[in-house]
Amino acid sequence: LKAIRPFVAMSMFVCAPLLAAPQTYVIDPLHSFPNFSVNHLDMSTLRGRFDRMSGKVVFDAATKTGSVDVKVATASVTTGDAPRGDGKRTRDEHLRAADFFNSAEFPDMLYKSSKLNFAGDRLESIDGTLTLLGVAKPVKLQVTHFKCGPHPFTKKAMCGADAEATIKRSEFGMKAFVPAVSDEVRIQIGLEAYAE
Amino acid sequence: MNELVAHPAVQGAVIPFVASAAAAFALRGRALALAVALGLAVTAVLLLGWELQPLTSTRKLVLVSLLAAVAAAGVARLAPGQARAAHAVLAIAMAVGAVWVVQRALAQQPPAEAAAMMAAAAVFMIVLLAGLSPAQESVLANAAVAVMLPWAAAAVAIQGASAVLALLAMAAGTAAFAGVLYGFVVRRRRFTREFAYPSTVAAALVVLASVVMGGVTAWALVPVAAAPWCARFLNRFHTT
Repeated sequence: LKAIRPFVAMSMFVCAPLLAAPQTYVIDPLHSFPNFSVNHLDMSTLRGRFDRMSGKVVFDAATKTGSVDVKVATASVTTGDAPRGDGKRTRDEHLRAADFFNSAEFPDMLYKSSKLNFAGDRLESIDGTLTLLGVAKPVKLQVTHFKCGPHPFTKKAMCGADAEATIKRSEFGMKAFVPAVSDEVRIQIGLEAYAE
Repeated sequence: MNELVAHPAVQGAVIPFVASAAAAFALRGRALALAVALGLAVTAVLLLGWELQPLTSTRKLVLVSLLAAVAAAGVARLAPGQARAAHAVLAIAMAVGAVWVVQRALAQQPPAEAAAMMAAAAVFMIVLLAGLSPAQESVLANAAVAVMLPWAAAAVAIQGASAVLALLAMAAGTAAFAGVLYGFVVRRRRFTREFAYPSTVAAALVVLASVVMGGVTAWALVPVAAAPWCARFLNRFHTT
């Protein structure tokens, strides 16, 4: 038995990466939201978020590779000024209109990536492409927190992450009211996803 | 300076007025449609930039309006017999343009609803442009439509929650107003239907976009399409 122990150890070492297949995680829409903030009139910071995000994250812990494929419904944008029922147009409606997210023409905003950058064991950043208003531009997400493990109660495998980036909205053709509403938009995404 | 140019009142009123008046002066009152187009174009560049991408309904709207001005200026040089046929072709081309402007937004809707709205958009544009008076004595009716219809469209655009569309409509009306003012000052009232084309087309497309994308009721199209007919009728009543 002692004689075959080195062979068993070696075969486990060689086969382990092959056995560790990439795992697909489906985004939990109840705990995943892209938030954004802009400067308003050089006076204050206005914050908002999108209420509907869906997609998948593929992650292979062994090879430290994976992909991200996320879709955000632009009509779900909210900044705390939803329709009040008094007939007057609200800020959220204005954000959905042609001046900003133009949800009638571009109902979805997409983020796709197949390049996850690790520093040691830590996921540091994601290089991907953001498609907004039909314009695709590279956007690097800085990952500030990333963890995979079992859900503490259900024990189902899951991953969670916080990531952020800053983009210039004018580069995507969203030029209305620059600079009164700042060109630079800070994006912060909190995401949870469960193994498929 | 940048703050001044970025001000909505400057973009929607002052700049198109100055640009259109200067162009009308330079053209000596000829091809006033081009002067109106210049006023609209300057505001469009300030609001949307020079880029054509992404080719949104707003950018398409500006392109169709500018095309209408160039085509109308060309039609104005034709003999009366040829002009009649050319106007029919132009109205059909603008109807196609109207469908093109809202096509992407309608593509997100159920096919039957989208097809009905496309047909309504085409009919709306043809009825509207057919209402512009060809008669020489109706120049005041055309001038009134060229100026007032875009300003009314600006109010509709605000209801549709788009300030950019409202500013574009306001700019079209103000540019037409500069042309009318020039005509009155130099006593050359060449407010033909060709003159009314760019601002009327811009107004129509702003209202159409507000209906399709801004949640404004489709009934808003009816008074807009009726406006030139009403102006024509009132003008006839006035002259007789």
